[in-house]
Amino acid sequence: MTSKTSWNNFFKNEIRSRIWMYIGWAMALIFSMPVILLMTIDTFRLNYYYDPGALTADVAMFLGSGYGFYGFVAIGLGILTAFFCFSFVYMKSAVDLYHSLPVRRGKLFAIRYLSGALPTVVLQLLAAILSFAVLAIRGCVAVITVKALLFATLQSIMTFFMAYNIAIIAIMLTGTLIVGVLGTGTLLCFTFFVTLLLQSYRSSCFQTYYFGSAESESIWHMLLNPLAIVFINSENDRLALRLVLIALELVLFFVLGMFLYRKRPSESVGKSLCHGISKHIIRIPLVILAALAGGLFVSFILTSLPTAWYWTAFVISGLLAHVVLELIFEQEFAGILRHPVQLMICLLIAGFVSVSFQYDLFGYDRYLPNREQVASVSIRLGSVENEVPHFETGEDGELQYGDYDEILKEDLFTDPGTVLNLAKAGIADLNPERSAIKRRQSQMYGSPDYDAKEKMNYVIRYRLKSGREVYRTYNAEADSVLSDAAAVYESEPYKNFIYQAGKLSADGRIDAIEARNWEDSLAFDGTMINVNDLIAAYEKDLAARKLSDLAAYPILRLSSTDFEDYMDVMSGYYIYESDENTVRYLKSVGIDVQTFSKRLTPEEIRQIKVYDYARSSEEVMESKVAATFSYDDGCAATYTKEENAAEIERLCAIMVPSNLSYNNSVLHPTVTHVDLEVAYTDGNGNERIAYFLLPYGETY
Amino acid sequence: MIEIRNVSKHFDRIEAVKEITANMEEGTVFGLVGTNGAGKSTLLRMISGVIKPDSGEILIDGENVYENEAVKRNIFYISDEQHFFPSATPEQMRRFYAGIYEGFDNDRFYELMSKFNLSTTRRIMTFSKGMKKQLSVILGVCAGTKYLLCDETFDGLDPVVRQAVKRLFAADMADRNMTPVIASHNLRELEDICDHVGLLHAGGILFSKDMDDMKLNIHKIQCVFRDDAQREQFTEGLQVLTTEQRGSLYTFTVRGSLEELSGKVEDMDMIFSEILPLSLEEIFISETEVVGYDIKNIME
Repeated sequence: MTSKTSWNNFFKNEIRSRIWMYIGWAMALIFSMPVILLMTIDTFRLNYYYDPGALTADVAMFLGSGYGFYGFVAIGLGILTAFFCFSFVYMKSAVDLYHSLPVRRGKLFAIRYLSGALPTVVLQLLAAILSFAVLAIRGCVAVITVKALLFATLQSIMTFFMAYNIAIIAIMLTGTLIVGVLGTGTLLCFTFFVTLLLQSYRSSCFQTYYFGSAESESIWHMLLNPLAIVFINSENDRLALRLVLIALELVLFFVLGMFLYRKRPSESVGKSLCHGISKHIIRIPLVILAALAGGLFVSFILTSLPTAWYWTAFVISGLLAHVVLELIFEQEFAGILRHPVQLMICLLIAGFVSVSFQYDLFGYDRYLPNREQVASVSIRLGSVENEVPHFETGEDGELQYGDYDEILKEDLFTDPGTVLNLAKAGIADLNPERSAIKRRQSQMYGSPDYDAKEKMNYVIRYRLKSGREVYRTYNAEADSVLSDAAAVYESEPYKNFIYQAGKLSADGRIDAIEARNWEDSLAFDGTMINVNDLIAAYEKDLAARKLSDLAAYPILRLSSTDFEDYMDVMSGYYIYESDENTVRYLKSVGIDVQTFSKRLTPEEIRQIKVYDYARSSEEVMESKVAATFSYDDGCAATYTKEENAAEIERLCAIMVPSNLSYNNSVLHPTVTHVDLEVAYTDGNGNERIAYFLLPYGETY
Repeated sequence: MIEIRNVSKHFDRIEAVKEITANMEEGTVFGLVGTNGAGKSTLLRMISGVIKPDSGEILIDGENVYENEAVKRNIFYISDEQHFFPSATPEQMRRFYAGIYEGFDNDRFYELMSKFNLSTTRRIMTFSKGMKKQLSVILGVCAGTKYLLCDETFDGLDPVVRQAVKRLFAADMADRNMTPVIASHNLRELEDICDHVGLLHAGGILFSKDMDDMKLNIHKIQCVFRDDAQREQFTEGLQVLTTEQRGSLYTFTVRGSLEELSGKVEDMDMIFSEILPLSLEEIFISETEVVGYDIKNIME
């Protein structure tokens, strides 16, 4: 009998012996893809019967980001298929049968691998074809839906293979079914757990850790975890690269699985692990990670406890992990504390890692690259124009809210000088307390410094010449960074990114526009001006704006409704007195901006209620403003026109409208814990209420 | 020929097989005997290529067996706990093995299944232990391999079936020079089928001898002497392995041919004398005592 014939016979037999498994898989796949797609489309149709375009877009979105359920089905099928095909290695009688046959182990592995994978992939493709039929029947066939369906199918197949390969590797390393299941779980979650732990330590121990950097830092986790493949969407960065890497990784895992199978001693049946060395390879990292996780967990949930509790939880977690692993490995209670030296070494390593994080031994927060190392930098000034929205255009041409942090992916500056200055200022302003636990305790339980001046926040991204990307976020005294922040803000690439008004107007996204002043009185709307002319003038002013201009309070707040996309694309844009072109244009159409900059006079004010949230509960009780706890508990003082004319006059002179203060609050700081509720009578004799803030340094 | 050269195998700290050397000639039945845990199954699993020896080598027709497809085409291994696919029928198992072993005799399979009164379409999971053993043997014999390795195959078979299986083996040995290697802890099972026997104990091989040599060259003599001088005269020049005395009756286990010993007995004028053949078990007792083992502690 030729080798090819025995291969074919063996393969056919394997397929035949698992026919019920494939029937089950077919049902799961058909339900999770075409059936659910049909149900979803029919639900959408109830909502979008008037708009086929929106229906198509939502169906595409469902097939993209809503693909999760199908992805989890693929993971489940991958794991179950692996156990159906390879769990024979846990049965002595089956091992004796297969390994005594005149079939080399490599070939045996390949036959069983393919007999599990190929039919499942064929069923996945069949589910995709049925899904396409559902799209066709329901009239949802469009480029975006077909593309999303193809991508979801590709993702599903890759997810299946990743889970299948990982489970096979776990099976090949273990000798009993239960340890195999535990091993599969560990391998599936290991990278996710490590990434999560690393991010938790970084975010809790480092003052300059930037959460947005997590994705780029966890690329290896994304590659090794099938769960991560589920959540890759077709708009991800470096999608093609990722898919190629995953494909290569799958080939590598197949080869590794085959290698482990060939090296797996037949007598491993019944042992926890097939190779003694794997016990150490598994135990050492898991004990270290468990100690780190245990300590962190306790310090998160019981922040008020002294640092000693962190170390107690740290040691107990490490010990527990060691004992549990010994129990699994040796399958007996006796000797659960074997390898005490190894346990001590693991705890020492974990202790060093923990200390290096908590005391930033390696200078994470003080990281400052040399100018020569930096290829480009980007920065986002979090405290400047932070209300200006950012938009992106989706694949379907629809406008959607974008991510402010997208600016960090731009190569804004090749000369990092200014940004490095900002980084230096941020480093100089770090909390001098070196212990992360003490810093956290002080943040959670220390008295908040209500009189502290709001700091300038900014995120920096360095793209180094080595290709590495480094993210840091800082909070620095505004005064110390104003000139450098101004240089960033006033640069052309920065303005081009943050101000999209001109582009939105050119794209026809601004159909209507209006402006209101501090008391929400209408200054003008689309009937009084020419939108294009206004935007043209305004765009010039945006380009010419200085950071110092933003220190003044704006006069008018713009808003615009793009009726096609149901979005206020001009929300967050303001007109300042320094916007000469806009002011001039408005004047040319008979609108005097100065009219709307008029503030309240003491005579118009009937009463000012001062709410101070910094007052202690004792002060609140003593004030006896309210018998029960309520919003009014914060009311520290009430000034009336009749009794407190002097106070009202003083406050009226300094107070600033709160609805114009948040956009650039760092540039015109206010007392953050005090709100003024002002009751006044407007020019038309209407009684109104408006809210104001006190400038920084002022009291009530 | 199967050549086992200095083969050792450890399972963790347990030495399952310890430097075993033995040859298994073609066309003979080799019996591997020993207590539970003696290393019989381990040795068979190594011969069948299931497990790899830690040291030494196992050659089948001059080639190493482990991961050698060509060599393994000549071997069929019947494990002590034969595996059948879940919910499989004998027919499905036949189809599986026929796809692997090119010499599988389908006609003979159906014929033997019928002779052994086994259904080819009934699910194997409903078979008794003995029926499963019969099926394993039928599959093994029909595979047409040169070597048939049987681990405790006769265990669980009733005497009639056991004899039928022995006849089956004998027929295949005669027809196609099949070489069965049978491992068992039951000496009586092997007595009338084995040509060569190897005794394993605690992983090592105590001896490996030809059955005829053993049976023809060792005898039990029971006699009553007239006096001690006659007893001494009788034993002089004989290779006495064991001596047992009950009253005046002496029982000697003596090495030597029947002719040689008969001559000696007839020359003496003893009160009573009788030469008896030894059972395989008695031969082992004698042989192992010679090499210093107390067989009562070894054998069940």
